[in-house]
Amino acid sequence: MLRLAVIAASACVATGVFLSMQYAPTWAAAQPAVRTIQDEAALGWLLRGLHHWGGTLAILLAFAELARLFWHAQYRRPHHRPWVATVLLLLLSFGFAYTGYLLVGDERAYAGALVLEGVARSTPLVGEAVGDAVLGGPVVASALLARLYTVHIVVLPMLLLAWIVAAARREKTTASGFVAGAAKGGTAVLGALAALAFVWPPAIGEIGQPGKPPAADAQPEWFFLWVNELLHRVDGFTFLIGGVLPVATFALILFLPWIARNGTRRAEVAVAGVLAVIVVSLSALAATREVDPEFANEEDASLPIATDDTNVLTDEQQAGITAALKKFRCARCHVIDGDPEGGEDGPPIPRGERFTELYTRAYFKAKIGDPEGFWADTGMYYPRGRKPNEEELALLELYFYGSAR
Amino acid sequence: MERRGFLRWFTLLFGALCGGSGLVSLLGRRPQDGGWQVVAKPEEFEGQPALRVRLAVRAGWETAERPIYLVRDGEGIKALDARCTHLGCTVRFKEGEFRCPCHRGVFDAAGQPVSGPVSVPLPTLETRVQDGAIEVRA
Repeated sequence: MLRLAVIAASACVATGVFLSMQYAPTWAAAQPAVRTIQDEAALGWLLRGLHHWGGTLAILLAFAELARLFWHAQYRRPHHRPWVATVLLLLLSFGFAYTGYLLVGDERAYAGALVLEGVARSTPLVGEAVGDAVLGGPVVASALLARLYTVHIVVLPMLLLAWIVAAARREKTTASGFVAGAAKGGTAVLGALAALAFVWPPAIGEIGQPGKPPAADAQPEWFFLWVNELLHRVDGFTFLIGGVLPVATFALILFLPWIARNGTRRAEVAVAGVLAVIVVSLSALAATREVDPEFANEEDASLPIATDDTNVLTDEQQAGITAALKKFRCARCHVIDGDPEGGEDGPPIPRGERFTELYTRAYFKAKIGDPEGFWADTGMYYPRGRKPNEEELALLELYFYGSAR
Repeated sequence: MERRGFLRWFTLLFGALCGGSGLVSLLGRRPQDGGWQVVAKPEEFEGQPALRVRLAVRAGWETAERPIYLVRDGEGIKALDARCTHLGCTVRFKEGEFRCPCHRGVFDAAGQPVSGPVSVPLPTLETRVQDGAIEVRA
C-alpha cells in the first residue's frame, strides 16, 4: 500500500509540473488560473483531477498502511522502521494537501489563510513576529501565497524525493525502481484517479479577496475539519488547539515505537480508539454546521460604507488625479475632496463610490473636451478643447468611482 | 591550511551565507508605514453609529487593506480593528453590535466581547481629527 501511495504522489508530481506552468500565486490570479485550467485548458480537468485526487489518495493509502501496521502491532522496536516511514509519508502528504488547498485562492482558501494567521499570531510571547514571518506582512496578502507555493512545489517535493531515495536504499533498489515496483497496482491507482477526476471534478469556490470578509460557511480540507471545529467552538486556547494539538497528535503517532511498551496493547488501542472517535465526531459535526442567518456575512443595509478606496491610492496615483482634475479645471466650480480652493457654483465632489455607474471612463471620454458637452439640466459645461488621454480617464474613474474598471 | 580543508570551509561558509541571508530576508522585519491616514470625512460619520473604513497597509510587495470601524466614544471617535480577536475574520456591524460571521463571536458597539468564542476586545487604533478629516494611525 505504501508503494501505491508513492505512485499516487508521483502522479501529483508529474501533473504538478504542468499545473505550475499555468498558475501564479497571487490572490488576483490564483483562482482565475485554477478555473481556467479546470474549465478551459485542453484536458485541464484531467490534469487537475489527477493532481487533486492523487493527493487525497496518497493520504488515504498512507493512512491505510498505518492502520494495517497498527493492527499487526508492527510499530514495535526493533521493527519500527516501516511505521516511521509511513508516518513521515503521511505527514508529507498532509503538507502537500494543506498548502495545495490554500493555493487554489478561492474563498475557502482565504478563510483557511485567516485561520493560519490566527493560529500563528496566537503563539505565546512572539505571536506577532511569528504571524508576520508566516504571512510575509501584517495581513494575509499574496506574499503568503508565494511562500506556500514555494513550500508546495520546491521544499516538499525535495523532501518527498529524499523519502523515496531513503526507502529505495532500504530495499536495495533505485528510486525509479522503487516507484515502478508496484506497476500492476499503479495502473489501477492511475485508472481510479482518472475516473475520480471525471466523475467528481475538484471544486473551485468564488475568488478569495483579502481585506473583504471571508465566506462564513467556508470549511477547510477534510483532514483539518476536526481541528477547525474545535477552534470554532472553543474560546481562546487557539495556539493549543490549532498549533500544539495537531503537532502533538502527530508526534504521538510518530514516536509510538518509543512510547509503546512491549506486552499488552490495551493502552495503545484505547488511545487510538478515543482519538478516532474524537476526530470522526468533530468532523461529522463540522460537516453538518450551517450558517446562522443572524451572523450572515452582511451588515445593516442602512449602514454606509466609507469612501471605498480612499486610502489605497499610491502617491503617484494621487498626484496624477490632482493633475488631471486641475487640467480639466474641475475646481473652478467644485470643491474637490474638501479642498477649500474649489469653486462653489457646482456641488462638491468628494472621492469615490459616491456616484453612480454613470461616471465611467466612456462617459468622461464623451463629455470632456467635446464642444457639445453641456449638461442642459444643470447648466454645467465641460471644459472644451482639452481631450483626456487613457491614463487620465483611468485616473478620473479612480477618483469618481472609487476604483478603475 | 591545506587546500582541500580550505575549500571545504569555504563551501560551508558560502552555503551558510546563502541560506542565512535567505532566512533573514524571509523572517526579518520590513519597513512599515506607521503614519496617519485620512479614512473619512466627519460628515460621513455624522449620525451613524458605526462607519466601515479602510486602512492601507503594506504587505509584501502589495498595498493591502485592513478593515477598520469608526465608532462613537462618548463625544469622541474611536477606531476599532475589524479583525475578530478569535481567529481573524472580519466582523460586521449589525443591529448595534459587531458580529463575526466565521465563529459567531459578538462584540458590543464599543468593541467589548459579548458572546461566542471571544474574550479579548477588538483592538483600538489611534484616531484624530485634523484639517476636516478623520485620521487613523496605521
